[in-house]
Amino acid sequence: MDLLNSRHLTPQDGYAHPFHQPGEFVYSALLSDSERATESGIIIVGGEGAPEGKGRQYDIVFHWDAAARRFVPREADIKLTIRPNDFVVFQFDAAVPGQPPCFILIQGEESVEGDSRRLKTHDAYTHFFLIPGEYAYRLGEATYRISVADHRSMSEQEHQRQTKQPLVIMVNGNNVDVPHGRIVAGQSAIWAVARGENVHVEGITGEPKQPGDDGQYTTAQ
Amino acid sequence: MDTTLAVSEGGINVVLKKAIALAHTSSHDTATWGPFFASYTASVALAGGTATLENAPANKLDLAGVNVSGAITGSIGFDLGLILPHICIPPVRVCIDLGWFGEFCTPQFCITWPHADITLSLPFAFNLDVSFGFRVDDLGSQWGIVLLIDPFSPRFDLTPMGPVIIAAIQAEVTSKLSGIPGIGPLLADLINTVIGAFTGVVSLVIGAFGALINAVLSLLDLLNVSIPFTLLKFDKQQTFIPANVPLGGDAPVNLTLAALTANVLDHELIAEGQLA
Repeated sequence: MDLLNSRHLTPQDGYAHPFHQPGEFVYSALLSDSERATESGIIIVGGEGAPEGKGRQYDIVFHWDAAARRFVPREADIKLTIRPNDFVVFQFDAAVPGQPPCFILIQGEESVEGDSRRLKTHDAYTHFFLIPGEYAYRLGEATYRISVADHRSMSEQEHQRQTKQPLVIMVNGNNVDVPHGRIVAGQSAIWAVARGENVHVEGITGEPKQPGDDGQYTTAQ
Repeated sequence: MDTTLAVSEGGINVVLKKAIALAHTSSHDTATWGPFFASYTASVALAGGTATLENAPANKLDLAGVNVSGAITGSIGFDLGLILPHICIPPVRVCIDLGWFGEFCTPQFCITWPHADITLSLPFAFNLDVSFGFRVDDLGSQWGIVLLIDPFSPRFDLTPMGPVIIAAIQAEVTSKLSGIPGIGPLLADLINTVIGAFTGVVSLVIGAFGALINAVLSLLDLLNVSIPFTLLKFDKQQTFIPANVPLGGDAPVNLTLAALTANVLDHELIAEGQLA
């Protein structure tokens, strides 16, 4: 089964953060809080802002430097200049042996702008599902479910059709609009936080029981 | 005073059959060819064979039709990441309109190609013909008639193993790669890439297996070119008793076998000793 955990990002994960305010932000992909001094790059937000909902996407791709034991962005991503309301999707190149999971930390001059461990309003977490199976995950106090079909159970055409559309799960506080998602291996899911603070998605082991009246699942212990 | 002892061809066969029945051993080796690495054991056992004696001056023992059977067991592993190209899926990014973001494109997943390995169990069998010369060795309190094997090159053909190994690798790669979603259209090309890489080294792999089989054969006592194989032994001190009913005072006589020669005559191994 995939590791599904927005606090521990793997090459199957992405973390999206929109920048609404001008400023200079340093970003890093870190293994622990003790590494905070290790910045990877800088994002300069300035100029005339794009209308909300019309921002441009920028990608920052990290790879694991085994010798230095740290994540390093592509050369072109070290200094990024964007406009207000543009957004950045932090992601990873192919994993190398020994590569650990990490989290993304974006720091402004005085405060933390974004932290993939604590998703907040307008952040998003993405996961590319590689291995089929029944996934249960906790978001806040609630438990939800995603059924991932085996891509070999369908034709190549059908698989391609399905994977062209990611599963979008809107998060409002601790609630999601898709309590039980059904996708296929090779398809991505996006948890888009419409409203929330300190949100994280954490896969759990154990078979989920049938949904309750509220459509939520509780997990067998 | 001389003494003569003859061992028939049949007798020689009886002695050698015992030696052949005990001849089995194995050895292990490892090797690397680019992204492929193998850890393998060759085990061999001998059976059958017929000994014939060649009269002097050849003075040879020919052992024909010895069945050498055994197996190469072990594994071949390979790092697909060293063979296959860097691929991210889906090949075209998936983009949607996502509320406050606008057009949002999901990250691609760049594949970390898995490690793969296959288990080997490749039986082989071939017949071996070898020739031996005779020599008499002083073994201290005994004389030994030993066999000196003529240098030999066993002829065997392991090339049929090639397609078997390639088929196993193809099955393993197919199994590994078909578990990765989104590369269906590339699957055939990716498998061909791996098979193409292995085809370049398959003859080296089989050559290494053959070298190990040769090495294992040389470990067998009977086929060891460095250490003679002792066929027969005689105590140097021989006790002779009267041929007829002993008369009073005809005590057994101890005589020393001072020298010994071994020759083949009329399909018999004739050992002639000089008593002192």
